[in-house]
Amino acid sequence: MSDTVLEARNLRVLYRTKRGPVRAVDGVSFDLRAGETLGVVGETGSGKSTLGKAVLGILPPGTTKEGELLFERKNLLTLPDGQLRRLRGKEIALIFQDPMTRLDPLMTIEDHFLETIRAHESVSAEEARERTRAALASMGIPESRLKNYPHEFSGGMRQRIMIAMGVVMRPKLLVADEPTTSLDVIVEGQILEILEDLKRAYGMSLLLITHNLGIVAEVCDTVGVMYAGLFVEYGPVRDVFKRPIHPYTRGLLASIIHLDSSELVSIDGLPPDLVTPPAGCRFHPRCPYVQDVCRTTAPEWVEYRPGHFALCHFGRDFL
Amino acid sequence: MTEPILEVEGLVKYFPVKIPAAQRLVVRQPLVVHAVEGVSFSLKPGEIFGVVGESGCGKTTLGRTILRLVEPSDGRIVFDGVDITHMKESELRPIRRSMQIIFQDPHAALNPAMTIGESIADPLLIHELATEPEAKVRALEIMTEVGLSPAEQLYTKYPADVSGGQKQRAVIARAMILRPKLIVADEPVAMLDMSIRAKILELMLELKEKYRLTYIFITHDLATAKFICDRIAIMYLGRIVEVGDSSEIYREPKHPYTQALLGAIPVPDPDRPRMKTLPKGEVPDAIRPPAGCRFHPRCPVSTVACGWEPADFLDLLDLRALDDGVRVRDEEALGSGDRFTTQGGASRIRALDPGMTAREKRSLLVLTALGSLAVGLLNALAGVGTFGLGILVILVFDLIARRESVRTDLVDRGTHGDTLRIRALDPGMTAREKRSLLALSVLGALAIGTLQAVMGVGTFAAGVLVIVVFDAIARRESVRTGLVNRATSRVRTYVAGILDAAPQPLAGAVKRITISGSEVLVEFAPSTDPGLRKVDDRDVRCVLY
Repeated sequence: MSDTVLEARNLRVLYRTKRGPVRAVDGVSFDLRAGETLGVVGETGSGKSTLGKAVLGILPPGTTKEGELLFERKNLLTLPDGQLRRLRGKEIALIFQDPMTRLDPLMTIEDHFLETIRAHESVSAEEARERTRAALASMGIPESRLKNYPHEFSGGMRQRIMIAMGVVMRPKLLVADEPTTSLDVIVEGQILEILEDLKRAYGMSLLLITHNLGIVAEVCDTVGVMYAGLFVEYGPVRDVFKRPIHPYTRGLLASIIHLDSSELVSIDGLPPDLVTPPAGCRFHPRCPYVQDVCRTTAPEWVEYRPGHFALCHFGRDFL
Repeated sequence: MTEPILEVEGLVKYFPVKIPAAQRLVVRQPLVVHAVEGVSFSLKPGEIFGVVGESGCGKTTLGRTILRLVEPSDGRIVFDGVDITHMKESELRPIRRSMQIIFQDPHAALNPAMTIGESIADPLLIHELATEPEAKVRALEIMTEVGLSPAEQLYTKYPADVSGGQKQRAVIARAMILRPKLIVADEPVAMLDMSIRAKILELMLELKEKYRLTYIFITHDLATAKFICDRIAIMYLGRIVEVGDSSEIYREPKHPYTQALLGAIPVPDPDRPRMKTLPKGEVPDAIRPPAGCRFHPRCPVSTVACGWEPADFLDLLDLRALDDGVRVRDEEALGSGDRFTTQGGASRIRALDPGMTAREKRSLLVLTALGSLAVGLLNALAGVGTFGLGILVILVFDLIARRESVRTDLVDRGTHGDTLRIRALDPGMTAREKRSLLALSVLGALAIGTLQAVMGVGTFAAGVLVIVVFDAIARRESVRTGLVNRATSRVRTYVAGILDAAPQPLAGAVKRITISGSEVLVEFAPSTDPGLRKVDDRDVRCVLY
């Protein structure tokens, strides 16, 4: 078995609001091994982006963090700021959803890279420039464009620049939060190919946060399905897609409109308010198979198949 | 046969590009974005017509131009038998009730300061079709119909208080309240979560059946389009590339772009292998769209006849520049990119800088002459100035020395005793001495100034001489021709080498590489748009068919 790079044990993140704590992530556990890709899927407000922010240590001040989030056995939740800063960008890198707003419009592309590289390593300007050239060329961006500003690039190129910047320090873990959402389908395919190639080339692990189940099926090894701050199902991609256990996962898979769809399926109701989540199983108000026990008792996290977990009282019946 | 509800013929929309005043001096032709370029189709009542394409393909502009929310640059729009292309706003107004739009972003489409109910009722009041109480009743009816219930309760809610799905239902209700015949739905579910998309689409289908609506369904999502559209048009850079029955197009996409789009959709099935060959690059700039078939630079199955042009050759050089070694060799052989120009169907590469024009030389000469004269003059003036300062100093000191008290005091101290007559103090220069000194200084300063002026002119003259001599040598027919010929033929060989190593269709499309003066011309066969042609059950714009 390969090394675990990132390990979450009962991770909780609570935002402070006037109405009370928002349980954005409420007890999530997973393992991400070296060179593998974990997909986190969920709808708006399921807490998937909060999970990504927790890994990067960029949650807003005053947020309550509980449980364990281990990166190479160091708990990211308790690590002092200074050490976290040294990890971030070097060992753990992030690719955001919207590359336009994440690049400084007043800085050239080259300056972005020089800043990143020299924040982590004291190398000569020439050496840093050389690495920048190589990183961008590997993403198909010619040297002649180093002095250009972000607005002079197309959406796909900007995302390739972001990726090049993310991997220029050869991180062990790359967190990608909806990396292709603002892109067209063909460019999306190109970006996914690039991420696959990088994983193969550097043995990097990838935490891919997305709402698109098609992308998960294509690039992930394991997947966590997030609903109302919880993983309701977690396991190898093939198991989760081919033999889903949790009713939410089944509903989500059925609701995707794909080329072979023959009917329109949706999940009734709305995701719950995370200040006052429903008692018992959080999915029970929308679950077509709801029973009395679901309304009162929270289900257990059970391993139904090797590595395939689900959070449902009747998981066994759905096997 | 039923009359079409909408006919669009050769619709064109260009958006002018704002250019800064300074740049306008250089750019002679006004730049335009070719958003929609010659789109034609007609819709039967009750049809759902999908317009599918990536961002920037012109699908949104097409929808808005049909509704005259954007003025068309050319073409014709006939709605329900009436030509509305050039209709005045006042005439158009009653017709607008029959054609409505649903926007992509429900969060932005509703006025945050109006309640949901007020927003829905508003069109009735704007068109003066109902009084306020009547409008409210109608709004409540339609709200129940689109699933906004309990309607009474939601009527007074603000957009911020309801979910995205409810907002989109409100936008649909607002479009429906005027009982339109045609609805342009611009990405109506793109901003919604997967689990509620189906509900909204179902609602749209129900309303369509009930009110015999016709939809233009604009989307980038081929799967959704397949599910709900009867016919679809695939757009790329302002043009329809394939149009026909949606089931047929999905069964057997004909245009390579349609095939690429379909192949690139991520499929939620881990066992399905991903499409291997994605088209290269991204949608090009609509200000300078590619010639011929607009998809040709990215097309995986392009042929020599697809419209290769000089710009493609320049792109090829850009691609080569990604490899450091190749880039250095290319630059050594061809010079930097600014030596390339494209003109008509040919790429021009200036092999050698042929030197300054006669006019440039003349201007340079005049400038140099004026400059050196000015410097000389300045020097002369400065010399005279220095001299003047010296005179001033002498005069002041002399004046002080001449003052009686000073002189007496000095003399007194010098003639200590009675009889001794020794000249104790030099009484100063004689008037004659002073005059000579003055004259000498003036002459000296003038001499230095003149010398400097002469030297400046001399340097200039030497410069001119050098230019003239070198120019004369360079002008000698044999020298010039030899240099130019050697440089251009070197470039020609190099370009031929690049093309040999290039992807086949591009190389094949090069008609010839010729030398014209000091330029190497890479000439391409003239290209034309393949045009939409009938292929089996549909129209396709591709030379392969």
